[in-house]
Amino acid sequence: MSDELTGRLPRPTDGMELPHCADLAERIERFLDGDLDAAETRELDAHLDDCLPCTEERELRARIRALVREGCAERAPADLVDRVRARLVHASDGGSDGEGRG
Amino acid sequence: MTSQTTRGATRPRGGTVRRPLDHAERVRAFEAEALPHLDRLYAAALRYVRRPADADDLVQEALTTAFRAYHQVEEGSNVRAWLYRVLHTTFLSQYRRDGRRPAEDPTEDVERAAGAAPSDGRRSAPSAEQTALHAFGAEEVRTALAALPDEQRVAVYLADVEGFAYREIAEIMGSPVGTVMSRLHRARTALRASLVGYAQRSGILDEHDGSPEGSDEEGAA
Repeated sequence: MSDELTGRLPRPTDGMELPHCADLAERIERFLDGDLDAAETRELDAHLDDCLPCTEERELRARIRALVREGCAERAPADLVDRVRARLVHASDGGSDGEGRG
Repeated sequence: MTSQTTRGATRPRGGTVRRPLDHAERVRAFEAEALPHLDRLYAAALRYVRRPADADDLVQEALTTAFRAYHQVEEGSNVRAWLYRVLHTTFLSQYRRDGRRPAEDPTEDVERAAGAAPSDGRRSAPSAEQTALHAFGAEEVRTALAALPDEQRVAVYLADVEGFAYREIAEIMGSPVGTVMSRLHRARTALRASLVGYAQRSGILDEHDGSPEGSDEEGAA
C-alpha cells in the first residue's frame, strides 16, 4: 500500500477543494458500507474533522442510503405468512429421502 | 415425489449436526428462522419483479425451495444470507423458465475489461443537493430505483436495506466482489443523478447546483 493511502490524508486549504478529496469518495462509500477497517476509519475521520466538503459528501451519501431504506420498507401482505405456511406443510423437505436439493 | 414426512434422518455433515427432526419439527424450525425475514424478503422480491403479485409468488417459491434444502444447512451458518441467495437463484430460474433474462448492464463488461474503477470525478454543492434530498419521499426513490438495471438495483437493496457486506452480496448474487462494488458505485451515481434531476425539474434545486459525478455519462435520469 502506498504512503499516500496509509499516511496522512490531504488537508483542505483556503476553501479550495483539493483533488484528493474527490479520491476520498470511494473511501467514504466503503465507510458507509461498513467495509473500512479501524485504521482506515481513523484516517477518514481525521480528514473529515478538517474538511467540510467531504463531511457534507458523507452526509449526502448517507442521506441517499436512508432514502433507499425508506423507499424499500414495504411490508408483505398480511396473509402471505399463512400461504407460505400452507405450502411448507405440504412440501417435501428432503430430510428423509436423501438429497433434496431444490 | 414420495411422501416420507414423518421420518427424520438428517445425516452427519462434519462439525455440528442437527438432531434428527420429523417433518413437523422441521417446518417449525424453518419457520422460526425464515419467517421473521418475510417482510424484508418481500421487499427484496419487489426489487426483482416489481409487481406485488409477482413478488408474492417469488417469495413463496423461494421459501418453499429453501425449505426443501433446509436439512443441508448447518447449524450456526448464515441463514439470512442464504435465504437471499435462494431468492436470487429462484428469480433467475423463474426467468429462464419464462424465456426471459434479467436486464444486464451493458457497460459492465467493458468497464471490467478496462480494469478501471469508474472515477467519482468532480463534485459540486453537496449542501444544495443535501437540502434537495430532504424533499424526497419513498415514491421518488422507488421511481429512481426502478430505472436502474436489475443487478444494480438488487445490489443497492442488499447493501443499503439489508446491510450485507460486499462479500455477502457477492455470494448472494453469484458475482465477484469487484463486480458488486462496481455495480454499487454505478447504482449510487445514477441514483444521485436521478434524484438531483428530479429536484431540478421540480424546482427544488437550481440547474447549476447539481451536476453530480458522472451524471452525463450514465444517462440514467
